[in-house]
Amino acid sequence: MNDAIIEFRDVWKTYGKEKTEINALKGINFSLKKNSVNLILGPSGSGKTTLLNIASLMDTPTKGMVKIKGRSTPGLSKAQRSRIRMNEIGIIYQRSNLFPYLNILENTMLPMISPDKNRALELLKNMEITEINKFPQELSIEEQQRAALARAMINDPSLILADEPTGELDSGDTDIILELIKDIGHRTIILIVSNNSDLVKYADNLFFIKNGKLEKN
Amino acid sequence: MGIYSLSYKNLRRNWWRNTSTVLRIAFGVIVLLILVSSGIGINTFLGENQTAGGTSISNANANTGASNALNAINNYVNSILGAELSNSQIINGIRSILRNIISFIDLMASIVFLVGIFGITYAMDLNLLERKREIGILKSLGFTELQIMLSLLLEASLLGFIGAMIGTILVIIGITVLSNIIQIELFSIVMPLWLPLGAVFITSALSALIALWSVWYNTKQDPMEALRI
Repeated sequence: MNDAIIEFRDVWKTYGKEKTEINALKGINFSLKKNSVNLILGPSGSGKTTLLNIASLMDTPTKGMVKIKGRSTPGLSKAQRSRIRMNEIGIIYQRSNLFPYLNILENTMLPMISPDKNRALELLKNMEITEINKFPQELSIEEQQRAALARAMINDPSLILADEPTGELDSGDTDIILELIKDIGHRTIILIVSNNSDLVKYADNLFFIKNGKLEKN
Repeated sequence: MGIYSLSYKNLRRNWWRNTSTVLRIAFGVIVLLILVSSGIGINTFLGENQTAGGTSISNANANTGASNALNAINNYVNSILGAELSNSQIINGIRSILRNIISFIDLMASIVFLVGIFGITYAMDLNLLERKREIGILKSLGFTELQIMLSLLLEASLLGFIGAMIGTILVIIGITVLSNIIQIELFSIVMPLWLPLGAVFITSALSALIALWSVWYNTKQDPMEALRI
C-alpha cells in the first residue's frame, strides 16, 4: 500500500509560450512519507518556490500529477484545493505573514476549522510563546516565526511546507526554529525549500534542485 | 476567530480613513434624508402623498391656517400684478413651482447619493490595494475565494451601515429638535418610518454592491504574486 503523504509524478511547470517558454520544473518525481523532515536545497531561480507552490496546491502543474494522501489533485476546483490546503497543509514562509492587527492568539486561531481556544493555547505553549495577547510587531522576528509555526499546525495538518523559514533569522534564532521544525517533522511531515546549506543537519531526506530538475542525495 | 471577524478588525485598523469614509457617508445620508423628507413634505402639502400625514394645500379651505395663508398670498400676488387671480389659480401656480422644486431636490439627492457612492468605492479601493498580500496569505491558509470575498463585502457594508446609522440618528435628532423650536404649520419635513430604515438598509446593501467589482478583482489575483509583495 502506498502510504505517501505527498507524491509528485513527472511534474512539469512551464511559463510563457514558444520562444519565451521557460520550464521552471522538468519532470519532478518524489514521494514523502510520514514522520520526516525533508529538505530541498537549490540556488535562487532553480524552481524551489514553484515546486512548493504546486505542493501547496496554490499553483497547478502544466503536466504531471500531484497526489496528497493518495488523492489526485489535477482537475480539482480552486475551492476544493483550498479545502485540502486548510485541512491537510500548513505553510510557513520566510516572513511570518501574521496579521498585524490581530494578536498572537487571534492569529493562531484564524484558520481554525473548529474554533478551540485550548488547542491554540496548548500549541502556543509548546512553541514557548507566553505573550499571546501581544501583537506580532511587539515580538521578535523569531517569536513571530514560532507563532506562524503554531498557526500552520492549528488544524493538525498532514503536511507542513516551509519556504525559506529561516531566511530572516540570525544563526541563533535559526537553530531554535529548526529544532522546533525537526520536532514537528517527526510527528508529521515537513518539506522545506531553502538555499541555506546549514539546514542539512536537520533533514532526514535531502534533495537538490537545479534548473528545474530534482535529485535525491 | 474566523475570517468574518477580520471585517470589523480591519475597520479598526484603518481608523482615520474609515472614520473619514463613515463621516462622508453619514453626511450624504443626512443631506439625502433632509432632501427626501422635504420632498415628501412638499408632496404632502400638494396633497399628492396621503400616507405621510401633514397639512395639504388641497384641504386648504377646510384648514383655517392654510386658508388664511392662501388668501394672504392671493391678495399679495393680485396687488403686485394688478390681476384678478382666483384661489384655485394661485394653488395651481404654487403646485407648479413646488413640483419644479421637488424635481430639483430629487436631482440634488441623486448627486449627493452618487458622491457618497464614489466615497465608498474610493475607500474600499484603497483598503484593498494595501491588502493584496493579506488576500494572498488568506488563500495560503486555505480560505476559499468566496469566503474572502464575503468577508471583504461584509466590511464594505459595515462602513455603509455605520455611516447610515450615524446620519439617520443625527437627522432624527435634528428634525425633532428643530420642529420643537420652529413650529411651521404649512411646510413640514415629513419622516415616515420607512425612510430611515430604508436609508440604513439601502446604504449598507449599496456599499457592498459598489465594492463588489473591486473585491472581486482583488480576490481573483494570483496569490503567489500577492505573496511576493
